[in-house]
Amino acid sequence: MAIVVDIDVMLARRGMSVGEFAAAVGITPANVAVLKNGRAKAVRFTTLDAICRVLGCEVGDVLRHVPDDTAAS
Amino acid sequence: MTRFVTPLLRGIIVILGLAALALGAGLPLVARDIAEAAPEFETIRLPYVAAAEAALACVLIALLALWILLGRVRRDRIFSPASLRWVDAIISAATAATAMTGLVFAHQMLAPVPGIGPAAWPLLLLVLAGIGFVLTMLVMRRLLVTAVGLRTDLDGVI
Repeated sequence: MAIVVDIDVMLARRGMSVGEFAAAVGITPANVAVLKNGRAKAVRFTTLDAICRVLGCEVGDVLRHVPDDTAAS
Repeated sequence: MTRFVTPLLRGIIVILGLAALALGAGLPLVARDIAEAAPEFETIRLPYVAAAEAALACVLIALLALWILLGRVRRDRIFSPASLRWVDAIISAATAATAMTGLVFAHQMLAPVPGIGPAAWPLLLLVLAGIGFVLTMLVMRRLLVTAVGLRTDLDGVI
């Protein structure tokens, strides 16, 4: 998955647990795990908005684009 | 669906089911009476009654599948792959019943029992209606497949 979601650093900075984060954002802890290990296929903008609000950060602080290493040029 | 629709549809299914069962029970008796009154019908009595009973069984199977699909709609489980199995059951039952009716009609056309002649033509209407129904159900099945796919995609959105 070329889009990487990094919330661990932000969570540690805020001293927030995964459970608290999930409840504040309004998603299930299972979906938090799906986000973290790159299995998410789509995220609502409203969810992104909640994440940035809860963590007090920018979109670019939690989302990174890592292009896939494909053989085709 | 509104509160009224599901119980109403379920009531209709029950009525149709009871009617099918009543027909299934009464048909062999009526056939026997007809064959007694007019012995030339005796050769076709058993095969035709068997075909009719089989067609009624198909109707009951389709009604059962419809009942289950209604339940799935009510519990918002309709847009999942399991629903397709029940839709396939309806399509298979309708195809079988239509094919059987077609065979009886064809038999009447090719090897007519004297005196029945005109009575066979309603069967042709039933076959045409059956074909129309199966085609409609195939289109509906395609719709359901698409809906299931969309629902699966949507469920993956966080």
